[in-house]
Amino acid sequence: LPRFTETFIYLVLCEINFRKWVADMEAVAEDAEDGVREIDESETSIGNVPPSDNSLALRPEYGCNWVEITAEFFEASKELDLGELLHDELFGLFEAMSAIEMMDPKMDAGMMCNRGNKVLTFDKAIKAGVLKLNNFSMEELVGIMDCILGCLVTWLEGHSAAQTILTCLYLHKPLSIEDRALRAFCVLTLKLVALINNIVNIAGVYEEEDFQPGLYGYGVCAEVPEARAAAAVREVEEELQRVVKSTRGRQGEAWEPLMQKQHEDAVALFSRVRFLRLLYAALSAIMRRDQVSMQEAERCLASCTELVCIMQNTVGRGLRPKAHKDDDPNRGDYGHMMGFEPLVNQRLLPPTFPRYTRLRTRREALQYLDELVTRIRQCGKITHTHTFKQATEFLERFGELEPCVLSRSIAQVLYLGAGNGSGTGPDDKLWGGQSMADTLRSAAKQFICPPALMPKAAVLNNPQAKQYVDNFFMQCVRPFEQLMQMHGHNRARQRDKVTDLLREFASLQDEADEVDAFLHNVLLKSEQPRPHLAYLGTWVLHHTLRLMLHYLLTGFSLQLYAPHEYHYIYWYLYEFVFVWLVSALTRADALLPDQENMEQQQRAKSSRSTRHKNRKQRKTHRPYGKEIAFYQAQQHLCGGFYKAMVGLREAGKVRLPQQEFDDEKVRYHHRFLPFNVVVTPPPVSYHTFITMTDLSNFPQPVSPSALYHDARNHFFKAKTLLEGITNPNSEMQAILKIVKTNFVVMKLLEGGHKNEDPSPPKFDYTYHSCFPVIRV
Amino acid sequence: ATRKKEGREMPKDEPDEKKKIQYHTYNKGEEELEMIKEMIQKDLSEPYSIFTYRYFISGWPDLCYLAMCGENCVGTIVCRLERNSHTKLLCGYIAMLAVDKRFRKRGIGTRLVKLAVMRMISQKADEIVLETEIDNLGALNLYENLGFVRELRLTRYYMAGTDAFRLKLWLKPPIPDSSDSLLDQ
Repeated sequence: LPRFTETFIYLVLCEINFRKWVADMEAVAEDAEDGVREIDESETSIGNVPPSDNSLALRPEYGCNWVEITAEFFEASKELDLGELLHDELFGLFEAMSAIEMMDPKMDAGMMCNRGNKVLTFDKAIKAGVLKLNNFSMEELVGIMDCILGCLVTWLEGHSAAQTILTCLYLHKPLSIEDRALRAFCVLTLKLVALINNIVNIAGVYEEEDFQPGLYGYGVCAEVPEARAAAAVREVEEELQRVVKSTRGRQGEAWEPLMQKQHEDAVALFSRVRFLRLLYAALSAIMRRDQVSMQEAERCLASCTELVCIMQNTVGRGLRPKAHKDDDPNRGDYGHMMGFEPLVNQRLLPPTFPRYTRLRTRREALQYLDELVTRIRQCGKITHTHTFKQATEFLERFGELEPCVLSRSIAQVLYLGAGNGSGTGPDDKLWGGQSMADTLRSAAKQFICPPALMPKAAVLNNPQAKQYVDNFFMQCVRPFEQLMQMHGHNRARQRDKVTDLLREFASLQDEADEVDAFLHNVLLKSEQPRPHLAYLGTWVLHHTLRLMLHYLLTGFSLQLYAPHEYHYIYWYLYEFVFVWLVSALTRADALLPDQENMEQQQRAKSSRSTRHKNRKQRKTHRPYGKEIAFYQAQQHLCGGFYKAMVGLREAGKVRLPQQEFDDEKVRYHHRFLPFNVVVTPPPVSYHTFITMTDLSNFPQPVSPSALYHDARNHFFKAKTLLEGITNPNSEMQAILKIVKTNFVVMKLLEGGHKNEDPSPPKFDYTYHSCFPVIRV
Repeated sequence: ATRKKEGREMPKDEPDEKKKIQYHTYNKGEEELEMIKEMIQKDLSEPYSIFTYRYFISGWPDLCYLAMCGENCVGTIVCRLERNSHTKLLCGYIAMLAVDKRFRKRGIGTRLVKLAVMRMISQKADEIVLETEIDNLGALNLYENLGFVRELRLTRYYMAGTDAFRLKLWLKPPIPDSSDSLLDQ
């Protein structure tokens, strides 16, 4: 054997008894003959499934001249030095890391199947007489359905279908089930799986950790029309309803135990099949994306909430199989439940470590379904928003609850549409029927009233100007769609998306500024000369700033920043991000009433009698007053944190990393790196940070107390601003609490409290995921 | 990942806990590989195949350190240094770090990380990364004390469904060179 450096023989075969391997292969061949891996076109994927009709050992074209070389092999390997490895050019150690050692139970997924009982497919299980298709007891039906729901929930939580729903044999050939209730339930379950898959795929806001759409080639009863599947379930429901009614206890009479049992069993079964039907109906209605369907969906979901309650109360009526002595607690009760075979798809999975997916228990599953229904009802409320701004804010607030991938997807599909991207169908319109371009036009108009967008705008007579404006809003479509989608992703992934979005918005900013400049020139030459500076520009800037804010704040909610980094993050927010936000809104705030008044005056000109009225109505109107106050409050909140952190650092209470490898300048630049693509506002260098925060700038002498004092003032200012806001929302109230507490803490520290105590403060994020209460 | 596991059998020769700890790079071959493997397997929540150890250690033996108490290995670190094809940066990766339970809280882990990081710096690394579970406070403290920060949160990263942090030590400013003269107005 030729030698290679740095290698020694690790070909798997030499680690195991070669003879045993041959014997096992022959056993596999036998199984294959029996049809363990049935290749039924309607069922499984072709993929990596071995041929069913013969094994390698029996294939005539390969011959079966096995020659044992064990002795020669070990003899030859003696030529290699200790530590030398022999390997093929294309199969080095990197590849070997993800390879499996055949028959190593820790790595070879198939080995699990060879332990203990044989793995039975649907057909094998029927043949073996362990799978019923009819004559189920009520306990069996309820038990099976609850286990199916457990699999469904585990799948929805992001696990592979192969180890969840597709471990239920009844879902492999549901049309072969003879019992009407179970058959209808299984068919509709598969259709529900297909529907959910569709919704999540269309929305496109999932990553691998959220959801696995693969169904491994299994059928989902696509050939059964939706109406028929629902009707089948409905029939079962009605039958059960009759039983429920006829077995009810009668007043004054004793409720005969057998009748009571029948009643309660019927109730249990009824609630489950009805729940499934209504859940399906709700999702189906939601996908139709119209007002009437949304109402229908809400009715269905309200019923679902009630039904889950009944299901939870009757969960004990489901059959529980006897526990096995070698039961793996991770398998719950699925391993031995009739109709469930956890390993049935094991060979379809990639050769990684053989892990079970821990399936949700029945109670956990019902709890999840209850919460899921609530979430879906909640996300449906995006249809109550009227403006783009409201929709974005809705998604932001909804996202804070860290909702599941399905509810996030539903919100996306409802608002953005189920479009195929062609731009023509109704599905490409936003909720409410407008195109994205038109919606954005309205949004810009509502934000700052650019003269060019006002009705009867002079600029509309200039075809080139009109073209510019139309083109600009067309260009806005993609970035703003992506902005909505960003809010639909899971929180950790949102940050990555923001990085890309900042780039898009930077380009959009350029466009906006150019269009503004062009319109400015056009308008100045028009009959009613009017400036058009920084209207569209401010609108885009506002969104860019909110993205920057989101990026920095999610760093807190994801717990990415270390306390020794807080000071520069909060400083950036205090000195720059919030300042620019306030400035942008102030500009809009000033321009909006002006424009509106000019509009009214224009209209008034055409109807003289109302001229006096309009003059009186012209009041000092501050449309953004509340928002500006809130941003200013947050600005001072961050100012408070910044000063507090500097004070704590000066007092030696912030644990700093060892000097050897740490470099604050390098850290700073990496933390703010995504902002470098933004031109307006310009990035703030570390040098600027150091210059502006140099303690020699402050009135001397600077002691921690002086800094705590400054912090205290900031918190106080924030408090005043927040208290001035009428009808504060829950976030504002939470921040007010934080500000008040921190004010007190700063006062204590200023007074020398815990002066001698070097222990670092704790940061309590219970009230708000981004702004902590400082606890010393 | 570095994770504690419940009780394992004791090695035959018990290390004398009072002896001084010596550190050296992987240089004695197969016996050391066995020691490293045993050390790591005691600690880790996710089992590795022998190929994983070989891949790192034979690829980058000079980035693999052992902490010895006499003849016994009481701590080890296994790393890699490779150019990222996407970012073009020379990226160090700390694959495994483990310290014998009885020798914890003595700075052995920190010392091993420092040795590895210094070696990687001398080989012109641009950055060093590793992943660890969000609730592995021991690891988080150790690395953050040395200047590593949490760059990313990886949701449901581990099989058990727990989140992880990607910790990163940035050694150089980002490219293009963001020297202050370019950014200042």
